[in-house]
Amino acid sequence: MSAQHSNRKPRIPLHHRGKRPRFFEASGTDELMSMVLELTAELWVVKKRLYLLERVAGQAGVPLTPQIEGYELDDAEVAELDERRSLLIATVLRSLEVDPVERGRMREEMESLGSPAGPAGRVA
Amino acid sequence: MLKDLSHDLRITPTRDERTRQEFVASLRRHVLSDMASSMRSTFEREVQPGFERAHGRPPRDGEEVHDAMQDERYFRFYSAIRYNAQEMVFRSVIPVVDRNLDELATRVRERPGDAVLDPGLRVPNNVANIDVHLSPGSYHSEYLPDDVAPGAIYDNSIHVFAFNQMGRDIDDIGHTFANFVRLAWPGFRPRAILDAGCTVGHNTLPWAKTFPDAEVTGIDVSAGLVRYAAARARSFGLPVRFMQMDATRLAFPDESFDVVFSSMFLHELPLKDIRAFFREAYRVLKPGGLLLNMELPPNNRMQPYDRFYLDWDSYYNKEPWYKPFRDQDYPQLCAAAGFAPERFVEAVLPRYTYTPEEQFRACIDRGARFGSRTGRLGEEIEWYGFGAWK
Repeated sequence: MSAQHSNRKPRIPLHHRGKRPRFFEASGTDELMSMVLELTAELWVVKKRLYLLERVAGQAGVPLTPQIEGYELDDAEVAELDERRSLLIATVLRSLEVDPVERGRMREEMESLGSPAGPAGRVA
Repeated sequence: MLKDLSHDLRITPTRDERTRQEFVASLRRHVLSDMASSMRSTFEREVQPGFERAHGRPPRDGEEVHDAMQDERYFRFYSAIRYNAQEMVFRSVIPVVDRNLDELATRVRERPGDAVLDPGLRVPNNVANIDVHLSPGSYHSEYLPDDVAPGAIYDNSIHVFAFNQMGRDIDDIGHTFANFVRLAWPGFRPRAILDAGCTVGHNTLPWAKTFPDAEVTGIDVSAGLVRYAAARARSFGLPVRFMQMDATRLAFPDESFDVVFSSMFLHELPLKDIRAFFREAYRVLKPGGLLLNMELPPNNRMQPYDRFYLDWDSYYNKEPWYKPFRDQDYPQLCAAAGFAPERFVEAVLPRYTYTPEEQFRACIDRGARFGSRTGRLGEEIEWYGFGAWK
């Protein structure tokens, strides 16, 4: 897990340029869809890791469950988990990240390309 | 289950990163298989009868199907999930590439492959001005000297995108069309083969494997793709040259190639550039040479629902030239570049690396038959290709 949480600043943008289409009329539904899908992805990552953890520990003869129940976190571990939880929340809520100025600029982008197909989705 | 890439430029995700990539691949499989089938049923059972009641006829084309589907709840969920899955493909790959960026550049510098760069080349607007198919940085953005980020992002993301349906090395398209040429015209022995808009050379290398005596060249406008493609080919031990070049302005003499190939390339180009590329292809082909493009099938050969289904990418996936291309008359595109109309060729083929050769050969013999599987990514996809002999 640790490799994902390096302090080095990423160089490659994670988000594409341009507006996101709007598929639902009710305000916020598109963002909720992104949240649900990101949550499901994260949930699966965790479920698979727990599955592996149980198998590996069992093979090593370690009865994990009672030890987990009784474990005391130290300050550094608490801080690390705080950071990871914040990252999870930011990922789940990523569809709300694009700022309004950027969104306005993006809205004009497809038209300026002059594509006959153009943007068919409802504009955010 | 996603395997590691099978060449020396592979980068290793953490266990959690790989799990996330597998989730995204599964999500894509679900939306493109299960949900796509349900959406077709929704159209046939509910939307089409409603349209017929209102208009006294079925929809005529993909646009009418699109208009009729826009307010359907199922279409909205299909689209929202597919769109998010596309974003998540890149989000599952970019952190891994980012972390390995310097080390990858070093690896490529040390074992560079046959790459010819053109620092003066201006990346065309259709690549530079939009993040094509929602890929952050499009095909060309670089973040450090001698960067291979575009290649690494493309190679790793299409691996997730393809959910194991495009070949072990994402090279089934190349194998399918190289072997189509080998089997359909046994007397044709190409000595020089060009792959235009080749990205990282996934579908270039199969030509070198199928025709080992031929000189094979791949071109792309992106330096980051060309560096990566050349090092990747070297890792596979294949002597293929990659050059940074614009397919609308080829730097080759007249009559230099026996085959000019492209795959999944034309639909990224504005029409004027497709026409310019075809004129250039005609110029650089030897008499008796073949232009062959693997592409999405033309709208005028598809049923209205299938036109709508494939054109989704043009409306929602930041591929603005996709539908304008598919709306063209392909034989006419070839003829306008100088190819004789009677020399037009086209094929609808099963995937070569997933199909016994006898069955593949039988599909060549029966000729191009269009259907709902043509060009639609899934376990039963058939690839489409067209072109012309000079």
